[in-house]
Amino acid sequence: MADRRTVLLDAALELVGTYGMRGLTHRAVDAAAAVPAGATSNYFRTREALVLGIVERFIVRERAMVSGPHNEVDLSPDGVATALGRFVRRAVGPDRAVTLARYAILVETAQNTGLREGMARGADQVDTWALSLITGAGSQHPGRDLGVLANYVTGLVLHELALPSPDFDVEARIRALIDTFGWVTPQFSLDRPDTTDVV
Amino acid sequence: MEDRRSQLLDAGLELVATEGLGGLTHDAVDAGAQVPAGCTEECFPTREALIQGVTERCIERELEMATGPRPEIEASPEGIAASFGHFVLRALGEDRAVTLARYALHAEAARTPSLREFYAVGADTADTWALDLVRRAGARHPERDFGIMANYVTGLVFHELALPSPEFDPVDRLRVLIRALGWNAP
Repeated sequence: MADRRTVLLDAALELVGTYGMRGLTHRAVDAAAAVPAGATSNYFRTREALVLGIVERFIVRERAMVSGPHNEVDLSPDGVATALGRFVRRAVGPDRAVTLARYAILVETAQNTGLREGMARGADQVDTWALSLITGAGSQHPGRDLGVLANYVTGLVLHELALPSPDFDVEARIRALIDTFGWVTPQFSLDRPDTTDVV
Repeated sequence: MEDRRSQLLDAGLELVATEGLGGLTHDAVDAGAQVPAGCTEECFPTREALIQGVTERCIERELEMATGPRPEIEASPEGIAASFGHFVLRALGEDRAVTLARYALHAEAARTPSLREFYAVGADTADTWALDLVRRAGARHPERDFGIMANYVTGLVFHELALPSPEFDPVDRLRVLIRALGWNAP
């Protein structure tokens, strides 16, 4: 069972996703999480502490949206396309509250520079993890490729959320982008040493 | 002279950017645009009409941000990198309000399906124009590449708005992406 702190943060995340940052108060979180009044204040003394707690929580949840229930991503172009496709589907579907909360918090960060440090720390953690993932999957320019993939996926989610495409084949689109990068999967070159187009 | 409609909608856009859609009322737009009370209601009788108007205006201004002061963009990789890069700088700088309003409108469209149809019409106008440009600049898969670039630019603006990179050079980032997409040499 999730600990109390996580329960509070998930409730806070839903609130921000549904009502925007204006909906975020300690009392509203108490009510949404069905805990005694004052519980949220005990864990998060200030509003800023609460917002930083939410940032921490959505990083954990976003990572779970990528790696799935078994916390495993196949280290290949297809594996990365599948994992990012899963992320996009969840971000516009069952985990839409996480997405809307993330937008609300990013906009708040744009206006309130005090939140940037916490956001930057979270972003660094995600980058470190994602860099090792795509390097393992064969990226020859991990910095470039991660930058493109991360911005692309963010844009895709933002567009799909407002304007869902009728036949949205997200894995194929991500796979097409990865194909332009020319990844060389280590496994592929080991198994097929005679393949001359893989250098 | 700027017409009355644009004047009202620009004031509406600023309101949405600073206060969210909750701040968008007919009275607030009258005050923001410094026009006599009732003007906004005359032009946009319902709240829905007002939201649609602001959405339309957002798309108009984004198109203007992309084309810049020059109506013509050179149809080459460098011309496109410069023009998309210019869009990113304006979206983060002088036209930041357009960007923030757009996120609020997108989130609203996510919650209100009736707004989507309208948003789709505006989105198509901008897409047709850009798709043609990308094709003429040498893209071998224009639809794929424009889709990639449009989503990339959206994500780039979004991330930079919250967490600005030191020495941010969007033109160079676009150049790197276009190179990866393998366009024909001009």
